[in-house]
Amino acid sequence: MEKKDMVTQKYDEAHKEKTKTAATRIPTYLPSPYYAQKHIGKDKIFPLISQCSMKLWVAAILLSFTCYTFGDEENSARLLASKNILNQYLVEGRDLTVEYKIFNIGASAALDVALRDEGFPEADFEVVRGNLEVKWDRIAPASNVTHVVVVKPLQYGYFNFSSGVVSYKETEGATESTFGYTSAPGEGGIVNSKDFDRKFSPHVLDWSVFAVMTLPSLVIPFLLFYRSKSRYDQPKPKKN
Amino acid sequence: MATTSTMLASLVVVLLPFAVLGSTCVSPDVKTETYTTTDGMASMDTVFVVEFSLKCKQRVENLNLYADIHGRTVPASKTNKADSYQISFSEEHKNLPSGSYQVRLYDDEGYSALKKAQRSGDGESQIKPIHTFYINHPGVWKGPLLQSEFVASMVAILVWYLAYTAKAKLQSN
Amino acid sequence: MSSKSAKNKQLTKEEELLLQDFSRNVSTKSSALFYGNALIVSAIPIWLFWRIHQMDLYQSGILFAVGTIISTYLVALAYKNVKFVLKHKIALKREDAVSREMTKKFADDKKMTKKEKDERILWKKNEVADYEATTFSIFYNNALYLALLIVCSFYVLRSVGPTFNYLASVGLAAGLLALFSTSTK
Repeated sequence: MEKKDMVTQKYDEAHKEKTKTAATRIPTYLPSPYYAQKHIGKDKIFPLISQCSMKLWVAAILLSFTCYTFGDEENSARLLASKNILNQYLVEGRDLTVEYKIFNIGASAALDVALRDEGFPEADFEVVRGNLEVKWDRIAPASNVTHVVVVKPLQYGYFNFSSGVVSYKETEGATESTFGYTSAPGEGGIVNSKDFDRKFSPHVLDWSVFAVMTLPSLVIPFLLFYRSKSRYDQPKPKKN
Repeated sequence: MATTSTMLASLVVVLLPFAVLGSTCVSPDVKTETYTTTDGMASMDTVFVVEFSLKCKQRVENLNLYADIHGRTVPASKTNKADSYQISFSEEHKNLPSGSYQVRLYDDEGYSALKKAQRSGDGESQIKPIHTFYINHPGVWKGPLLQSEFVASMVAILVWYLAYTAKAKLQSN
Repeated sequence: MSSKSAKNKQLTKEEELLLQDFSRNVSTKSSALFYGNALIVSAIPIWLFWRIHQMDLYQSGILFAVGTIISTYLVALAYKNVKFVLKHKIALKREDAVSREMTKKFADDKKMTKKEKDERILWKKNEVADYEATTFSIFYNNALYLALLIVCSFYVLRSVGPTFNYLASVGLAAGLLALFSTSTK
């Protein structure tokens, strides 16, 4: 009996663990281009990547608290970096805006800060504006910097947005750089431009052509009817 | 003894302006490439990204630049290419309507002077930036006012309704 | 003997006209007109599905052909039914005007007998009513078909894949059209 209880208990624990991680995992949605899944609605096909920023804030607060309690040096810089995709929809051939925010939560300025993001290979992304490797000489304590890069996806499908690397010198006299990683937006689906157009483009020209095409089918019968009608629809002359 | 010290002093005095001159930029040549968000669905915030190259008349070592846009000062990041910098600025769509935005570039000295002026509350406009340029933001397109299929279905229903009234009139006695 | 046979002939002609009046059968000319118009109106939505739902013409060619044929049949059926319902009402309305016009036309003709004149008036009345009913039926059914199709395809079946969207919209629109036409309101 006891053995069974222990087994079921362990199973319950493992199951709970599984469901917990599933819930906190970064969501991945299927932008199925074949419309095979009927239950996926429009809002599920296009993922909202930036929901991660909420989790990042929680992580940032926890991390800063940990540093405060466990940090040994009072006068060292500590940088937290976030990488967010500002797009609502990721579409092939349309601009993708990536925002990096670096916060200095330490007590002293961070020096020789370098941000490098190698997560956008040349074959898959074209840089529209911005640089993926930048430097700042100094980030003051309790301040932040923002860096934006605009890229254009060249292919559609799943893409795993990985972290960028931040290197900086914690104190003035430091010889070695400290390395850190930005947050990773996770996996996202880049939608085929054809599918995106289908859902969102206004198609004004197509509708106008359609209207012009239907005009003869409607106007000609009506005109013929109206001609005949007006010819024979004279009111009865009053007989006195 | 005295002559050597005076000579040294005079040398320092003569060389000092050059040392000072070396840290400020005189008559800069700036080439900018700007990007502003135009597609409302491409981004949740409006971003301005300016990549520019700044060449001073004489070589300036370790130039730190700051840009003042729309009431905020952002530091410019340096890129791998020499004399090439980038300014990134992001705000909510509603805070950045379409129009022309002035960007003033300051170096370290100018920036600290600007901060002092901002703290004291006046004299901000008197601090001369290294360079000023304008960003033309055409505005963010949020999508068409009326969906085309809505218009089409309304027109179709209207046409049918007219036909229906005509039919009813025909069938009435 | 010959006069009696002549009378019989005239009666049969009247009977013929009456039969034509009350039967749902249409002449081949009308039939051709109906099927032609139905084909045109069933083919027009293909443009919408090609451009807006981004369906490939060649890949979905067979599908389009099948849909068009089914829709043509149902729309032609709707034309026939609506025409039949309207014809009588129109005939009643046009009776006086037609007879007036015809009598004016034959007023100077002394050679024709009254019976012949009446026959000709009856025939003309039938023809006018037939013509007007046909054209109005085509107009009304086209308007209703297009409205039904647009609403079905872009609102009711909005989130459905394009293939099923085409079949269902065209099927629904044509089917409903045929259904409404059978009402004897």
